[in-house]
Amino acid sequence: MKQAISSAGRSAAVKKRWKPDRDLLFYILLLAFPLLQFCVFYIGVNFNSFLLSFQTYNSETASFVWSFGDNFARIWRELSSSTMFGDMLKNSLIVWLFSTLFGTVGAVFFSYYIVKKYPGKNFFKLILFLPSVLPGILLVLMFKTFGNEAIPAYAELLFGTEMDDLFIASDTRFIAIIIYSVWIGFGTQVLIYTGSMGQISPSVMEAAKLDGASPIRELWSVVIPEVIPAINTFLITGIAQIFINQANLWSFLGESASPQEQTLGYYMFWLVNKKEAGFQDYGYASAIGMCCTLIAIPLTFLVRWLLGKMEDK
Amino acid sequence: MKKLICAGLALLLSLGVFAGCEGHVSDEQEPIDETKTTLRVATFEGGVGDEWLQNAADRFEALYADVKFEPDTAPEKTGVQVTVTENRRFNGESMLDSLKNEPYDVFFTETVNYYDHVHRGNFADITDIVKDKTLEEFGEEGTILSKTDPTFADYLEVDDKYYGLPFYEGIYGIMYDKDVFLEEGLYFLHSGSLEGDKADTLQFAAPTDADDEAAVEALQATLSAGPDGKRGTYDDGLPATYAQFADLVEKIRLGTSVIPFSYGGSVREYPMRAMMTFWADAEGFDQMRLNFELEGKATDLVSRINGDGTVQTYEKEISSADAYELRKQAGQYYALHFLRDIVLGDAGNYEVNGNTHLQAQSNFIKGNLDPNKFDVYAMHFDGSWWENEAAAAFETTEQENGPSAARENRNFGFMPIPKPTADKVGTGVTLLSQANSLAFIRATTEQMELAKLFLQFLHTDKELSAFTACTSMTRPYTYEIEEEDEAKMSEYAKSLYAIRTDAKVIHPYSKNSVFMQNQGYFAMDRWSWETNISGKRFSNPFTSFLDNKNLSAADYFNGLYTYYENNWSFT
Repeated sequence: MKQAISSAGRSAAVKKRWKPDRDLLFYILLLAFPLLQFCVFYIGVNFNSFLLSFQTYNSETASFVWSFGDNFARIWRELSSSTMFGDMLKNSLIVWLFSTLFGTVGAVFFSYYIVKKYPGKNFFKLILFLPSVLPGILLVLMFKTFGNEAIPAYAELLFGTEMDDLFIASDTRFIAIIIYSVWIGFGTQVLIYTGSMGQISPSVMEAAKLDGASPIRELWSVVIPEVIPAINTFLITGIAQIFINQANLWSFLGESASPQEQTLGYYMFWLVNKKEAGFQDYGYASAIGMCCTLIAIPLTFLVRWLLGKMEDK
Repeated sequence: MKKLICAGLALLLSLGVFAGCEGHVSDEQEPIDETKTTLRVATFEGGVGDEWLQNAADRFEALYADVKFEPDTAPEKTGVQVTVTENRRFNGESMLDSLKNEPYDVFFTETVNYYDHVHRGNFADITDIVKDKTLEEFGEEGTILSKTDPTFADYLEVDDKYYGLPFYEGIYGIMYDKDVFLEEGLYFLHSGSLEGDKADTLQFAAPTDADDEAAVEALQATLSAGPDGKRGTYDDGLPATYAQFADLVEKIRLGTSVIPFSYGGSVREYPMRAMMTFWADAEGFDQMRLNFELEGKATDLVSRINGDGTVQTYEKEISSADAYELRKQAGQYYALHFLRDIVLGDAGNYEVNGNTHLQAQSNFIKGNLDPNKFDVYAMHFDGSWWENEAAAAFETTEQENGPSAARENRNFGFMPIPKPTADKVGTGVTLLSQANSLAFIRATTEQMELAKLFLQFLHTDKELSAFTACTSMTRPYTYEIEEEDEAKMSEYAKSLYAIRTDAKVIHPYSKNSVFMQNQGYFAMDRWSWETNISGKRFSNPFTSFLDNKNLSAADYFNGLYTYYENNWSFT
């Protein structure tokens, strides 16, 4: 009898062990592919880049060979003999300044305008969300045609002045690209900020109104403090963007952006993607990426710390 | 239910993991004829097009209509069907990892990093048809190797084996509208002596009606000798020297309503690459080859640029350890001077006539058809393939303007390269091909023998001639144009073939070990135009001169040496 009970108990225990945990299964299924993607396209790719920064390519044997300091020595030679990296860093910072800082300010204003349902909100919504729903290359083509065909035509029609195509003339090319970068940066930010602003309790807004707060006061004292965590997130992640943002230069100008208008992100992309590039510059591009990471990590932590301090206040 | 939907959506989104994976779907449009053996041929969708290949395939099919290619495995099949598929994805770089699984047997394509493919085992060994077998089956005595450009052939040889064959020659340069030159009186008249034809200024011919054949013929007998220093040849009446070219540009700018030069806005590397052709011609074959051989005696390195633009030179033995000395080559200075002072000038001799290369070609073609409606351009920067690439634009202009606007009835030419100084007139022509295009057989093909036979067929003299007649382009082989093909050629094709026949063509390859190990570095653009002017980097002289009006040719030239000396790491 005892033996029979023990046998039944074991059987029940076995059954219990084999019962699938549906929640766990769901959790595993949900995360399996994203994790795989993260492992392959983030950890794998970055680890490979790390290794590549210590390798050069031998095109005769079609193989990478270890050459520990060569790529970093090449960076040093460039740094010590020309202002190329300085120019690119300056351009990267200009793009960042406009697309992240000014873009953030603009996005907050536009979001507030949309949330407050002021006239023309739907038009702004459409224009600002457009970059998020259309393919990037289509937008570039549209913007480029607008800059090269429409703007000079309007200038001639309205002011009688002859104007070079925006993306051909050197004095307007980079400015036009910055304007584009700011515009396409709005979409995601406006989406997040309008969401955050929508969460603000109507009674808080009502109280501000009753206290006689103007819209600007309401934005500054009520709305912005509520969305500041979202703004900070964009500012912090934007630091890494300084070094990888190619500002759509490739889409606009292909391989022919001049060194004076290149950003660091464009230069690295150009090194590995230009026509007939082969694998010759993979190691060098990786080494530049490594150097950028070494700068970006402490800078990101510093900005995070500063923004945290400001948020606390 | 919500969880299920969420899981489904998550699964759907996670499919992005497979975004990098490539399928191998056949793009061919032609239905397969099951009664014949199929040979699938793929070609890059670009300037060369696929018409030449379609025509050759038809001739090959007719030649082997009664032959059984699979007597053991498919005895019911007689003859061969060659399908030709054109697509932009058939370029060497993007097929590096996928080629073995492609359904196509033979490829004609560009941007091929040959050694990368060979070491991956992508290309079939075709040594037998290149080196060993003669073209006897097609009525010729020699092998393919015997007619292949020796530098190119040497580069393709890997451990005594060949895995690919050169495809086409891509020569950048200046295209010109012969009708505009006739109608605006832009040809130079003969001075009375060949020596006199080298003078800095010559008289221009009177405007001539391009449709009046007798008047055009009469004019030709009165023209100057041109850069080859001989009268009665293809370059008569065209500028023999840079000084004459400057005079021509001045005449176009001040004496006509025509715009001297045009280029495509998104292909601003074309004028730069055209200047490499000028550089090669100014240097001559042996000196230009040093840029790839990286060993030998450089005979015209610039020690000083005089106030009048002439240069003082010296000689030096160079090796791969100090090959950056070649950035003092006088030919490179001359090309920069031509670009800065003659093409661009200070008065605006140029215009962007379209954003893309295709728009620019189209505007160049149609300008002179209706001068009241469009801007007319005398010259245009492009590659030797431009006329074939502009086939659709020619069709459009023909539909709009009638048969006289058809490609075969238009009158364009490849501008012969003028010489920097009068003493170099008549010293021969050197051209530089910058194509990097190859033909090869996929290593895993099941139709190896048939593919090899087709490749042999396409490299007979007759087929090489047919290629040039159809595409207005040339291939890096020794061959002559057959009479019936010559009759089909456009004026542009004839002009290109004439200059090509007169020239030595450089292919940018060598077997020097430093070159071989760093082919990406010695790709022409990078090993040519990087400059460091007071710490500022520039990499395209054309855009640099456009964007910096105060930059001189001498500034750019001197910066080349600074840059390459500072960044040289080869021994």
